[in-house]
Amino acid sequence: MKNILLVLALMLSIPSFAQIKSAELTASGLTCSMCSKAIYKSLQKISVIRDIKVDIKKSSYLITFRDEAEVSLDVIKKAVEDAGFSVASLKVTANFDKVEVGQNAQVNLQGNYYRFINVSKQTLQGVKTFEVVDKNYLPVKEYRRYEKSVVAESGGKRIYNVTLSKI
Amino acid sequence: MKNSMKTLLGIFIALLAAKNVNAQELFIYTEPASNMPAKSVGIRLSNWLMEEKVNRDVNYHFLPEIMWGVNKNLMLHVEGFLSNRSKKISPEGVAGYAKYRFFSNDKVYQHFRMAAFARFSINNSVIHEEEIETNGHNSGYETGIIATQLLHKQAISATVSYEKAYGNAGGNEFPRYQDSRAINYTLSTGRLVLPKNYTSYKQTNLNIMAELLGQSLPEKGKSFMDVTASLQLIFNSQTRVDIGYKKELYSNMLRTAPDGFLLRVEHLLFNAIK
Repeated sequence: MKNILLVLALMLSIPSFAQIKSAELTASGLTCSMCSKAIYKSLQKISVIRDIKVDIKKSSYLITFRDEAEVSLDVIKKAVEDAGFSVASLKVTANFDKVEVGQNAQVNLQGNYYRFINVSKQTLQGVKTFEVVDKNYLPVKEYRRYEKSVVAESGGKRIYNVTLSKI
Repeated sequence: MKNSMKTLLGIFIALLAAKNVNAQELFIYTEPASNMPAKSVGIRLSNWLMEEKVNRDVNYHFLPEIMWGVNKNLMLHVEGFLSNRSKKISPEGVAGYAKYRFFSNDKVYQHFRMAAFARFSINNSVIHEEEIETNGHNSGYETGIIATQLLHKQAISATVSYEKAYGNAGGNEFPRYQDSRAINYTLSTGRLVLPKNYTSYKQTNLNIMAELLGQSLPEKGKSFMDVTASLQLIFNSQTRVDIGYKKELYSNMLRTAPDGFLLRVEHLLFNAIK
C-alpha cells in the first residue's frame, strides 16, 4: 500500500523548476594529499562536472556542474568509493523557482527524484542547499537518525532522500 | 645493543608517541590495508643494496613491479626479481601479489581497515640462508592479514602472515635441515613532516616512517627482528621516492645480508584503465 502511494506521489510530482548548480562533497578515510588527489582524479572523469575546487586539508571538494546537466549523485559517491574512500557529506545547491516541499514531498530535479524529509511545508525560492541523508552519504551514526524515514527507491526509480541544510 | 640500533628503535618509539601530526600510511617495507584507486596503474622500482655479512660485498636486488587497482577492494601486482648474485645483473624470478580489502570503517581524517593478501613466487637463485623471503629469494607463497588504523595524528599498521618456501627453480633444492615454513609479523608507523599545511597537490610531501619486521621459524625455534627507518618524498601527489635503511635487531638465523638500503621510485597513473 505504501508503495502504491509512493508511485502515485511520483506520478503526481510535477517536474519542478529547479537547477542543480553545485555540490559540496566531504570525503572521509584520508589525510594524505595523494589520497585526496585520487578522489579528485576520479571525480574528473564525470562528464557533467565542469569544475572542482579542492580543500585538501578539509578533504572537501566544491563541484560545479555544467548547465542543464542530468546530475547523478550516485555517480559522485561511486567515484569517491572507487578512489578507496567514503562520502562523509554531500550538500547540493540548486536554484529553485517556487518549488513546494514538505515532509516526504518528492521533487523531480533534472531527471532524478528527491524526497525531502524532516522538512516543514514551504515554498523554495532562489538558491537553496540540501543534504543527502541516504546510506553511505554520511557517517553511519548520523545515518541512523534518518534510517527509518529513508525510502531508497520506488517502482524501480532511485529516490535521493534529502533534508534542507541549515546554512 | 649497538648505538645505531638504539637510534633506530628510538625513532620508532618517538614516532609511535608523536602527537599533533598528520599520519601517513604509504609504508615502505610493508603494505597498508588500503588499496590504490580503482582503475589506476602504479609502477614501482625497488633497489635493495644490502651489505653481505661475510665479505662486505654489496648485494644488489632490483625489483620492477606493476600494480593495478582492479576495483576499490582488489589490487594485483606483478613483479620481477633481478640480482647481481652471479656477478652480473641477471633475472631470478617473478611473483604475483593480490590484496583484498574486506573491512573499512571510514571517518573524517580516520579509518580502520583490514585486508588479506597473498603472493606466489618463482625464483631460480641458490638458497643460501635460513630466512624465508618469497619477495625476491625463495619460490613459494605468503598469505596474511593486514590491519591499519589511521587517526589524524597517527597511522599504525600491523601484518601477520604465513610463508612457505619450496625448492627454487633450476634444481636449487630447499635444504632438508632448514625450516620451510615461517610466521612473519610487522608493525609500522608513519608521520607527515612537510608540508605543515596542505594547500596544493603540487606541494612536495616529506614523510618519515619506522617499521619493525620479524620472522620466526616455529619448527626450529629460530627468529629475527629488523628495524627500519625511512624517508619518503611525494612529488605532485603522484610520484613517491623512498629511501629506507634496515638493520637487524636480533637474529639466531643464518642470514646473508640483513642490513642495508632500499631505494624506491613509485609512480601512480590515475584512471589509466577505462
